[in-house]
Amino acid sequence: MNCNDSAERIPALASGLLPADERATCLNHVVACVECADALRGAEALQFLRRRDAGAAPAGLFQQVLDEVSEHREAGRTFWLGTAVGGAVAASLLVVVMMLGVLVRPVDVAPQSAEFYVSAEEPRVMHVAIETERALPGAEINILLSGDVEIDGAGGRREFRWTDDLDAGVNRLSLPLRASGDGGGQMLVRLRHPDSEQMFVIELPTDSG
Amino acid sequence: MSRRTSRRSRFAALVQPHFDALYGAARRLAPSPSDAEDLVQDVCLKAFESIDELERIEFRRAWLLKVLYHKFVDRQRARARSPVDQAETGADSVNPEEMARSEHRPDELVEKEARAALVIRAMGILGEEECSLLALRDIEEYSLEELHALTGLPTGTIKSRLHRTRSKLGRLLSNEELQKPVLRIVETKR
Repeated sequence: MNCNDSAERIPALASGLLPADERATCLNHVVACVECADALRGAEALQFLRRRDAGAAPAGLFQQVLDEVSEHREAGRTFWLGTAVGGAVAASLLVVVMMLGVLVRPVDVAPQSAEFYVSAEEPRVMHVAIETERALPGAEINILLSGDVEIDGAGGRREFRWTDDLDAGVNRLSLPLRASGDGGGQMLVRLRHPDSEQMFVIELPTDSG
Repeated sequence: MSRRTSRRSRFAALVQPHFDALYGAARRLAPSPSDAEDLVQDVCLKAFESIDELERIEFRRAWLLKVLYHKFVDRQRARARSPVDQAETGADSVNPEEMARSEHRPDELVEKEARAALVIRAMGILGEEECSLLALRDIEEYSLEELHALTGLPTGTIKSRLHRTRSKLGRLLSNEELQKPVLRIVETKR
């Protein structure tokens, strides 16, 4: 028996389903072959995991997950569609971040084209332009807020996550921001795609800080 | 019917028949029911966003499970980068209720959970594609033909990749570093 023959039989050997005569021949090969011995150890581990009692999903979990995922979707769509919250003043800032092909970059401070202050008195819209060299279908977008800043109308939620198809060129997010204190804050935006990832941090000072 | 309602209905029709299978796979891999729920939610989020693609796919359960194993590897990597391991699977994760329900002796149960933790940790070191292909074959029991339909890879290529990945997993399981207990911060006091 060679490695190819052994490889075919290892899963059945690990699950105890290999006929006795083949089992003996296969084991003779395995004890003399490091690669196949490792493969048998791996296959046995997976059989062990397969037999673990997993159980059915708790009642109501599907509905809960359904509500959660559709809410994420709506949150993301709101941002792409522009200023969904009425009353946001025109003060705005365009932050442009270039997404660099397949490079994975560390957290970086986004270049800001103008001074931008968040106010407790009124929501101010920050436009974040994400420019990509090519279309990125199924990109995952995370927004995480820290400090005394929140997204107006989001009920104090600090983290937003959704996936969307980014077009080649500029994709614009519109975020109505409001200060919840004097300390200012930061917004971390993370974009992930199967072959690229980029994070950037935007400083958000308040007009009273 | 609004676009949102329609998308929800389509999602429910496509995913609900496979939800128990998804949860079961997640529960085998996750240290706690709440971690399993988070993992399933990640998969559902991806499925919700990719609903048009999901409708076109023949092997929906396999597609969903493949996403689940990818997300599992992502989470294991993120956990490995984190300075605090908040919920490592292992002997400590056996809860008293589980112990009372189990047909095994407590020491056997602890040993089984420790072994499961080691296997899960090793699987999390595999590449996403390696992990999903191997799990779909050896845990979920998809045939080579079904894996060919799902991945587009020739069955010969699938066979050789499976063997290589089983060997890699076996080597990882022998790795002494991997067998060391993970340092955990259970509680921080000022």
